[in-house]
Amino acid sequence: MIKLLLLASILLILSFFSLNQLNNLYTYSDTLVKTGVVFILFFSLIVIARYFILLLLSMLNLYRHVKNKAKYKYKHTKMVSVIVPCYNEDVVLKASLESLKNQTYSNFEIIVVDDGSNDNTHLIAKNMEFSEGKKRLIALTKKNAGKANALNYGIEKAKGELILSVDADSKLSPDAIELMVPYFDDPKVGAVAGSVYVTNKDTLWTKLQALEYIQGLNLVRNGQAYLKLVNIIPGPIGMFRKSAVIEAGGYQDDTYAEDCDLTLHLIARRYKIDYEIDAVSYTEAPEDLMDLLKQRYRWTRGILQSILKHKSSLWMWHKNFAMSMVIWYMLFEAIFWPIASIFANIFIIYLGIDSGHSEMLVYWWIIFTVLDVAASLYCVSVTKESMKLVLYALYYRIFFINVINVAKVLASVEEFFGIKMNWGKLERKGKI
Amino acid sequence: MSFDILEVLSYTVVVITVLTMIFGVIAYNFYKLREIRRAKSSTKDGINQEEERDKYLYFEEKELL
Repeated sequence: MIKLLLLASILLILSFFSLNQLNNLYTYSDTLVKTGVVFILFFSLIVIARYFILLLLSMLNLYRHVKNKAKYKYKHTKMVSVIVPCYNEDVVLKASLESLKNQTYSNFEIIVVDDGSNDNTHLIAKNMEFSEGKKRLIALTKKNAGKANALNYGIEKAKGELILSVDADSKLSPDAIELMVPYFDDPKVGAVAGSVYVTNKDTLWTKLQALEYIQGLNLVRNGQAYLKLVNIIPGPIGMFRKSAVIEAGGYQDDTYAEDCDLTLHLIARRYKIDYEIDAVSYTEAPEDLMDLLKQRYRWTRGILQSILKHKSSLWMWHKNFAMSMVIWYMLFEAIFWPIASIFANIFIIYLGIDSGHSEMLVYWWIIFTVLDVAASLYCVSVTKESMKLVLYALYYRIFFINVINVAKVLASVEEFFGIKMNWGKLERKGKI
Repeated sequence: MSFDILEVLSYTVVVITVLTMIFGVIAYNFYKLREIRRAKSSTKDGINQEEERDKYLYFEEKELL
């Protein structure tokens, strides 16, 4: 509690500090500069408000999570079908399937769907087939037709009333299924997301992604979960009610973010989307910049495609307020946020140099870096990650986020012009 | 000789920010070039798996559910 109060105080002091510094800039008479200052002031307020709101919702959800834990103690028996779609995953598949076999939950089946791989993926899965009581593992293979198609194929063969979708490059914590199933006691819950952690923290890029993941999980997803409106069920770990998935038309293959698209279809049908913080999937993150850009390119364009598919919901707030809010939020994060960040950077540099008050740039950088450090401290303190990760918050804003934002904006431009794209399969290193 | 530490820091921030953004643009273009080259070479070999997948993604009728 003391930690959190301290954190809240730091953020409060920083917000006042930021406002005071930016207010000093307002004395310039040039209209363009004034407009820019108003924009920067507005941008800073949004950044600070975003942190505050997410932090508040996240803390409320954590409190609810601890309170509800006791409620979920009784034995659950719902049958779960774990679907693992694979395409050329022979390096990582064995470790992934071992983690699934060792789940503490007793009533589940594992369906490995090989999507026409040209390596040993199917052979590895076939060799691991087993049947012990209610648990079994079956390996299926089919012609290559994309991840969405492979998932639908698995769902069609599934016997369980709950579907757990797992990426083949991920390993689950032993109690993941056991922790997620109880949420489905509420018939309104359509899906539950789990936590995704980076397992290969060997390079600067993967360490920065590890920090990004825990911020995304503990601030954003945890905050959204308080409203039961998690907007993306992640590929590495997401549990769905089978009937809800079928009602939503299954995974659709007209976007490159099939998980996000399905989640939006469920929200549109007024299902609650929750989050279990302790159900963990350890995944292999891209180790070099080129693979990272490949992944973010697909995510950015996939999310934009999903938003476009549901764009009519933007103005349907009177019919489905939750859905409208989610789409506006996604639009904000996908388009406004990266563009505004780049513009704000360029403008504050221009203003600082032009006005002779170059110290403004340092304040600007300090404000956001300290906000990142404070957010990282909070996130690391509520997870099992090492405190050393907090140090990377110093590079996070000035380096990592700048590169990612530039890539996001350029990918958005390509999406706007409808430039053809492909899936962009990442090369696995086998480090899970 | 004296220098203003705040000024040094501020220009350091400017240089890093500008360089990072330029680096982002260059890296993105480099990535795109690499993808174009890969697509060309795999088409030459007649094993363009990605294009095959795209064909299914967009034109094949949904057979399931």
